[in-house]
Amino acid sequence: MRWRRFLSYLTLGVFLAGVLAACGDSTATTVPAATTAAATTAAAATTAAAAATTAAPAATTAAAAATTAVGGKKVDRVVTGGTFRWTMSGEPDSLDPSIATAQESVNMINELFDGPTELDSNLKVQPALAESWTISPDGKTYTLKIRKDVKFHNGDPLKAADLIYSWNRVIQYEKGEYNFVFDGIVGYNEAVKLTGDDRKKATVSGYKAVDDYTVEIQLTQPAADLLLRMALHPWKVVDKAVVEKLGDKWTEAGNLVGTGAFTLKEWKHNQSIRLEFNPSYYEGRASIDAVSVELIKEGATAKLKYDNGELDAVEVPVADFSKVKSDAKYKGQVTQIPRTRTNFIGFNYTDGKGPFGKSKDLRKAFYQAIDRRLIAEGALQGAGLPLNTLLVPGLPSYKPYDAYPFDPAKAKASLAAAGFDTPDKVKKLEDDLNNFGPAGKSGGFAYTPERAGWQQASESYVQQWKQNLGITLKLNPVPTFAEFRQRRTGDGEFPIYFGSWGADYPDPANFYQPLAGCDVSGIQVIKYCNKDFDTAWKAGGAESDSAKRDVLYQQAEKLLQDDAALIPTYSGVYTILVRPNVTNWTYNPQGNTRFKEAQLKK
Amino acid sequence: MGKYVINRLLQVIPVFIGVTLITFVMAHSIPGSPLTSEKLSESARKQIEASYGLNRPLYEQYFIYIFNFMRGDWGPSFERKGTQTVTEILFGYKGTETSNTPFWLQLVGVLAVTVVVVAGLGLVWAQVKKVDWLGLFRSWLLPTVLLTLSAYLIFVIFTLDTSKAGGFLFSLRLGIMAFAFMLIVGIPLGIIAALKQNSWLDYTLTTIALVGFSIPSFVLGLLALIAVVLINAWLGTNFSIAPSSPTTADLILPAILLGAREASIIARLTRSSMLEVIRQDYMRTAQAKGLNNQRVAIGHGLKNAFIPILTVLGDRLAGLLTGSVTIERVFNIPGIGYYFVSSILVLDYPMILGTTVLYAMLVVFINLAVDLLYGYFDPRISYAKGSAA
Amino acid sequence: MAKSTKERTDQADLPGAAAEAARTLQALSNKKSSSLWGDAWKRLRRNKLAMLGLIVMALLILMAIFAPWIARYETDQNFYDRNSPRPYSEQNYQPPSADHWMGTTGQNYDLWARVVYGSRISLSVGLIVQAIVLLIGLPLGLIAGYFGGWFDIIIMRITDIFRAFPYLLLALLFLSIFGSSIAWVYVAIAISTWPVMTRLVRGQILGLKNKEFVEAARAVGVTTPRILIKHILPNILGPIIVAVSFGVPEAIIIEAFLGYIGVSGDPAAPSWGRLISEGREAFQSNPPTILLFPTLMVVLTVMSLNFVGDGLRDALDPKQTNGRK
Repeated sequence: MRWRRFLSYLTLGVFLAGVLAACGDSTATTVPAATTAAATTAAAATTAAAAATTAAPAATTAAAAATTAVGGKKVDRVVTGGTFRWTMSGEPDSLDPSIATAQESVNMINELFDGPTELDSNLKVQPALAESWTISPDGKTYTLKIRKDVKFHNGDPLKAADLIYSWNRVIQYEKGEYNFVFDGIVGYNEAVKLTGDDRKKATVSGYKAVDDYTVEIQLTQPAADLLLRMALHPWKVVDKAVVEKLGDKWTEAGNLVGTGAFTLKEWKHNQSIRLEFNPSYYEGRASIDAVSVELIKEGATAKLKYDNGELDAVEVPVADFSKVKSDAKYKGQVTQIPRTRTNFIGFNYTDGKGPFGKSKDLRKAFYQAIDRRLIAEGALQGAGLPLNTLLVPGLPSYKPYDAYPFDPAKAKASLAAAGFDTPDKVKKLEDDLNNFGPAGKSGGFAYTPERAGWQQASESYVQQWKQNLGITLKLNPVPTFAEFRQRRTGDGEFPIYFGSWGADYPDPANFYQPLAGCDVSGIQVIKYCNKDFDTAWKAGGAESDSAKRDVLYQQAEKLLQDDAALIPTYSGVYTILVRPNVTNWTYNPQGNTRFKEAQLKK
Repeated sequence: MGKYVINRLLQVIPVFIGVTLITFVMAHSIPGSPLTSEKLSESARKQIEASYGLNRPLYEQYFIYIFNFMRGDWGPSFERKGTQTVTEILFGYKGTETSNTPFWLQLVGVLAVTVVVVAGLGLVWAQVKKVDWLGLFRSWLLPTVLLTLSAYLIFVIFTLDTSKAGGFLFSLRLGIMAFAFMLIVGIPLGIIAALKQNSWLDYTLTTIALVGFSIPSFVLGLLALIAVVLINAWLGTNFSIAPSSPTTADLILPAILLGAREASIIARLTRSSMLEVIRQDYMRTAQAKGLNNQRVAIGHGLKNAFIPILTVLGDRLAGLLTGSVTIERVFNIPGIGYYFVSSILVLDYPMILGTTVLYAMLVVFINLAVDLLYGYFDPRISYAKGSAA
Repeated sequence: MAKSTKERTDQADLPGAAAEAARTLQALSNKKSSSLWGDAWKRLRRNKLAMLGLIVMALLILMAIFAPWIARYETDQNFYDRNSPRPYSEQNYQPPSADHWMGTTGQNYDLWARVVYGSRISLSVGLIVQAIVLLIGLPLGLIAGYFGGWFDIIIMRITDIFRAFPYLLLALLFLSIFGSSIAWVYVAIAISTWPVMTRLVRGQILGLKNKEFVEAARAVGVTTPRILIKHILPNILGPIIVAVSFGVPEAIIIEAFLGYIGVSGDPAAPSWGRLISEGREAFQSNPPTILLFPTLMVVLTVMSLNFVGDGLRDALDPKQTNGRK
């Protein structure tokens, strides 16, 4: 039965492959100029269905992987040489897997280090350092077999003890923000409660090295997403000897040692990073010789550098989206990738924090008054895809569902049903919402302009409510995300606000738990608690049969949407310009780049 | 004079306390947490904040900060998760030193050599010409030492290896070049406009200066980059735009754009300052004696007209040396201008304080230098009375 | 006679053109102010550029006042054709046309309407900021200059502290704490620019307070507030007016910059600065008029105000006419 759980992840991967194929598989395919956002989704759905047939053979191999060894092989790549010229918008906050949080850091860490597993371009789990794994019948014990041919950049051989050392480092670093990816392992909860010197010595009893090439992981309860989580950066393995010898400067160029496909050749802080291929990479060397990364903060400048022939690929700023697609100059260079980020309108369910928590009809009215096409295509220039569910297309168990389609007449009716049936009452509601909180500071529609696209989307929401409900909410921009996050989460103060969530790893559990679960101890973006919903998605997380899982998750989603618990509006899209001579380069829906397979033709 | 300088130096203390205190209190009054990850649960966030010491009472945090600051520890940058310190980001990373001699020792060496050479020459000169060597010392040694030191500093700034440099080095380079542009272009333009007052040349120069003043630099910068891309496309040239490790040559274009706005301010100021001086009685006397009008203006007038210009130059210099947020951003120059904005957006408390203190200290010391230079331009000023001001 | 550094530097420290106006204005202190203003107005009327500036400013202010009648559309009214096969994203950024004089923006809003309403924000920023600057700077400068002593020391130290702040950082800190509504934008810009005014006023007073007419008023027992208001204030009005006329465009540009960072005012009522930064993002792939028009408005305003300021300075300077050949 064990392999079936794995199969579900594969299905996800294949599904995503379909989405990618529809929108251009990273580099090869181009989105036709006229493709609209809506058409892209539709195409994705059909291709995914078609791709389901091809899932079978892939599944068989992977099923084998779950019980016997299939990893450990070399990959024969065409060596094209050349330097891939790429840009990131900022300095990595750290290249230490135990510290890093920024996307830029993660993308570099993925090239420099390896973990037990990794995600391929289709977000499929692939064996990396672990050549195989077995899962005990109760789903609580994972035994990883580690490859015997892995060497660090400095020649040190990699042993199971290095994995344990690296993982304990993550736990021991008290300021680490990503150790929650170890959650569920026996001893994790006890370890992260420690502070000060105790924390620096903390170990987690749930994982141990059985011998030099075997690691055993004990879970408190079955977690279907563990293999996915193992692909995340905190699980990457560092060299104990180097780290202990060099202290906190071990991540500098020339010092840093990992097992990855690239080595850190140069790191000019705040300026640029240069990676060079690792000739002794266990899979076989990368196709290209080097990656040069320029750190460019201004999107417009980066695009101009691409126009000037100084970059091989660049992310397109939102304002240029629609025109880049139709510009003959960029023919064959545009790639669009749907993101695993969901954007929605959130309500406050805490008592005394606005009228929405108590009134489903009111939420419904606001729900029905939103035309998603106007947001995705109009306000965001196609940088978004209309979304009616909390899960985004491309995630497992996703099924299109539209609880309350856009309908201004029904929206008005719902508003009346909520008790706001006279102009006076509507006006009173509008005033109450706009003047909410001390000095009205929490009133109106709260968002932060610091995040790309939120300003435009928020303007569009407010404009549509004004037009379709006759309620003119004021825009309430919070200058920084730091502040917005603080005032929104927990017992947040805004009655209605901009919500957004990006997946750490592509799994429904990573959406439902933090966004709408009743569990108050974890991350809570919305304080929505519905026992039926909670039961449904929790049952889904524990279910090993993928078909049953889908049913449970879809049931949860339906409960959420029927209650109008939040208003999903759009999921993001990356638009990227890639030079025609680049192939096999990966830019996945999580926003992660991979360079080891990229090829540069002359 | 010595007393005056000491007095002025003592004034640094209230400014330092005021600036740090106000910034500290304001920065900590911004709601929110420097831990901006949306993935952190509340309990985890509180625990991490505690490990940074952010749960201590504010006054305690302030005193800890000041204590560490005095020891040269400006704190870790929260934006970099504490893996880089504020001093590293601003002033350079380990391994910046190109020679084994510490920088302060180099400075002392240059200073010593200059003093010995100038004092020696001065003494000889005083012996030969039988003049008061103390007067000679005051009028020649001090300016020469200052000039030599500045020249050496500028030499160092433009020759340091940038691969491990902090942002301040880039901002300094950009600022010095923009400042030079502002002087070279602004002052002559102002003089010309003044000499040709109310002519078409005057109006043209004034209008250009005003347009330069009123187009925001973030627009001008982008237009300049696009121009370069178009030139490359038309002429088949291969100019790189906005390289992330800019050399001095790469900084010329941004420095001109940054300096243009400043030059327009200085040109207008020079023009009116000159106009006033030209109308002074002694200038008329000089003209009456038959001296060439323009030579009078430049020879006699400029030195007197320079005093108000000098003050404004001082104010502008501090702003230029700490970088321009927009020009640096558009031209992708890794200077420190970015941190003035980003530190507040991500609530990087040590960085907010670091950038503010750096700026404040520059303002204070540049103003001190400007006040001392007044003595050179206007001998009527005596420093004896300047006690508390 | 040797002046003390104190006095000398404080006059010299004034920003830009205000400084020399300040000095020349000292000569006015002996004159009766009524004839002064009459003469000044005559001189100003002769200055063609200044009059042009005044007319343009008057037109802009009228535009701001009568915005609802001029704008033709609402600022948040979008013009999507729901029946068109073209996706909305290709209906955005229309070039100028008879319907949309300046074209449309990224959300298909009418740019002309936004520019017209934007004048309200940008002009009010310029004027209100200067009003607040006067409100803080004038009394502090008067007190520091006239009473001297500890008042002077304390006020000048506070001024020094605020001058040592990078103005942008101070404004940003302020907006981050209090929220970025337009009222706080006024205050934030004023807070970061007032020390200039205090130093100007103080410098002026130092030059005036020992003049004969002030001494005389003091001798016959006129009360201090009366001396300040009746005798000193009229004599320093000239340089203050000039400083304000230069301060207004400065404030507009700072606001434009805050708009560029995205922390300024109500996004539903964008200022010119915000329109410029929106246009800057989009003009490469879309009609460049999206950037051109808002930039032109700022250039127009700044130039007009500067011409008026230049004219005022010349008009209020009696030596100017004497010196002319």
